[in-house]
Amino acid sequence: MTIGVVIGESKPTEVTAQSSRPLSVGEYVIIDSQDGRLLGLVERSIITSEALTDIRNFDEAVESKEVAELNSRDKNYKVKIGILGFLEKLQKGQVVLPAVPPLPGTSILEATQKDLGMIFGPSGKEWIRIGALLRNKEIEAKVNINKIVSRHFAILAMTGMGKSNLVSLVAKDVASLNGTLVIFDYHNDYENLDISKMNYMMVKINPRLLPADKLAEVIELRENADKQQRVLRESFTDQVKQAKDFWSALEENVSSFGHTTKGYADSASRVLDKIDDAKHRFSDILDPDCGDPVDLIKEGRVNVLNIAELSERQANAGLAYYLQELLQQRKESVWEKKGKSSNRNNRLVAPVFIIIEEAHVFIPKGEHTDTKYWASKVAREGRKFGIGLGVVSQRPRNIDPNVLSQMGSLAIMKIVQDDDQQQIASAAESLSKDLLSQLSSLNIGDAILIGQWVNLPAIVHIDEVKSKKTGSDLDAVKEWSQTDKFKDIAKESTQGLLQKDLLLD
Amino acid sequence: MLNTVYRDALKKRDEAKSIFKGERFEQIIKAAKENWIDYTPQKKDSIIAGIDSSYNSTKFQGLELWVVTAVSIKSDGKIITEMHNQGLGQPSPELEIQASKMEVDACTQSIDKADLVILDGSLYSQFLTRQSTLGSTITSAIKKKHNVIFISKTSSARKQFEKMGSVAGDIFYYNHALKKPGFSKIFVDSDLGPGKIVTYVYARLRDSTPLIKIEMLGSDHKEDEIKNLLDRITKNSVGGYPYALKLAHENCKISNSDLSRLVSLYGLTNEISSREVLN
Repeated sequence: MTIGVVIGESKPTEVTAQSSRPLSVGEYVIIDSQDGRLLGLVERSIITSEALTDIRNFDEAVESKEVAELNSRDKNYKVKIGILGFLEKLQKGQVVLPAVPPLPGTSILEATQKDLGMIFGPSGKEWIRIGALLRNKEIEAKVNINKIVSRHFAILAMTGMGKSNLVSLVAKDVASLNGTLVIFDYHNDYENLDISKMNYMMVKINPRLLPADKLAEVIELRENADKQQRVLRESFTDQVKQAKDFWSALEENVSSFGHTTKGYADSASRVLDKIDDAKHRFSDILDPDCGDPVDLIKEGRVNVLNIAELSERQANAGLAYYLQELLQQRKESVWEKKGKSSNRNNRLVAPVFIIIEEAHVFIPKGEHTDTKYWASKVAREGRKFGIGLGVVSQRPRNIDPNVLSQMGSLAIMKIVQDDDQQQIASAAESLSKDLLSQLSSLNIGDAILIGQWVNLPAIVHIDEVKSKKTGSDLDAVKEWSQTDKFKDIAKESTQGLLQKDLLLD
Repeated sequence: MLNTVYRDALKKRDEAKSIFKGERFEQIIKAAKENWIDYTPQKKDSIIAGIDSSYNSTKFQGLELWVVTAVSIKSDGKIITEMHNQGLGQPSPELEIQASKMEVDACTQSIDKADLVILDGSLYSQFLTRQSTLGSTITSAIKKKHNVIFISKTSSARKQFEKMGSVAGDIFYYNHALKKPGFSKIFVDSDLGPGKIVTYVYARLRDSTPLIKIEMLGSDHKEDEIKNLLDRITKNSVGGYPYALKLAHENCKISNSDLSRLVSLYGLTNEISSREVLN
């Protein structure tokens, strides 16, 4: 069905059209050009009314409104359409733009399920459904899981726009494909995720496996407390690492160093306090008897690692350790397959996908963290060794741009801040200015998908993971009202227990 | 421009201001107020057709590329009829006459298709055109259903206050006298002779909107008829002006850029420079 006609100046990359009805930004249309059918994306939509132009006062506006309603020719629907390529080629996964622009007068047609289905919802096991096109709701939107494991991805959005829902959706799909997923859950969002193949655990740190400077971070020694750092470094010997009672051995060494080294008695005493403090406060996390915590990650499962109880520095040390170990294990696995290694104990034989929430905390711009070092290493080397990285953040402007630019696929939801938008624009070449301007107008669950996991940039509405009870805002008013109800119950029951004759006096 | 022109303008400023003030001005304003009938039109449904014409031309090397258009259009944007003529050479008859003829033809085709047919401009210009047959054609068209009127936004007629020494057109004094809706007392002008009697009023459809001049054929028009007319025009008016006429104007106007496109279509771009077209 013809819904518009190309008018004015026409280019190989974009055309302007007069349409018979208002077209939505993000809607796909077919441009029936002289060289073949082209797929176009409505990037700008303008409606004008002849009667309601050049209005000088309110009365005139009201009168003009009345006559505009009568006049069927009054409204002017103009759209700017970005040309995405020849439809036939796009359906085969190739992007070919026309050499000659569509002639003015070319018809604009409605895109059908048949036209778009193969592009946005290709068949194949690696393509998983993520939702539907926002403006062409009957068209399924699928993403290529292979691409996100090999080329990484980022989910960027303001708080409450559906980031954790999308992570949950990806987790469910990875689980259905028997994939191995590791989610570092910073806000305890995924504990109740309804997936049968889930392996939920608190992140543990085995202090025996850490280098001295990392142990110092974990027990929260100040970075500039040089003497305390030295006490720990000198005391954290191989003998301590192998001791049956790790903490006692460490404390003994620290105490002994304090006594034997001149001028270090006070520092040793403070380190002992810190060790004692850490032993009590972080007993659930710091476990010298837990073996290698990476061994707890199960292959073919969605492994949710709760890091909510960890301080930022501890979480950083923990994440860095996990990333390092997972990358190493995958490397060994690949080398083993190629016959370059004979480590038969390696457990991660298949690719792993890792998701880091609050990426701006662990992979910050302008400062060094160990997680950032290992994350960028995974981002660079992951493709070769089958380890994918997913970063999730509500503050893209604070994420290290080098890491962000290596994310081959992006899901961008509502972003209002200009700084954030600019950071995304510089990280994603395929995000046009017009698509970028749409970011602030997206609703909850809407996302712009760009990069290698989709055949074409798409504005989609992400499916809601119904069984997920996480990440949503709490209903404070409801909870308060319940508290008030309990108060009344308590009062009544207490009243009943009082003896009246006692109160008379 | 010469500096002396500006100096002279400064000298004549006070004289020019006397048009807007002074005893004579006040007397005319008083007369205009007395001549005014307050009336707030009530919106009444009516199918209104607006008719307008336009012409434009560009001359070059003794030739002229010319175009004339006219349209009759209803307030809902539906076109009743549209007509045009164009040519290269000397237009004959003159463009103004061609435009008038098209308006009359459009009017003839519209009277049965609308409750009220409004022509942009003046009935006088139809009568005073050098093509005598036009006057009789429009007269018979009007008489068929008595549903044709003429509306103009400007008028230089000064018949009503001429004896009081008016300098500007009558519409100027009515505009200064009152801002309320209503209309001036009916004025019948039989100067053009029998069969060409023109009755007209100045009217304001809404508070503080510009005045319009409404002309009708014949002498037998009453105040109630004017009120009924204003009610019907007001229903589909914007800023005190009938929307059908605005639409007619928008549809038929021939701008210089339209003419440039025609020059290109005729393959005359090399003959006429763009500057000549704009001139």
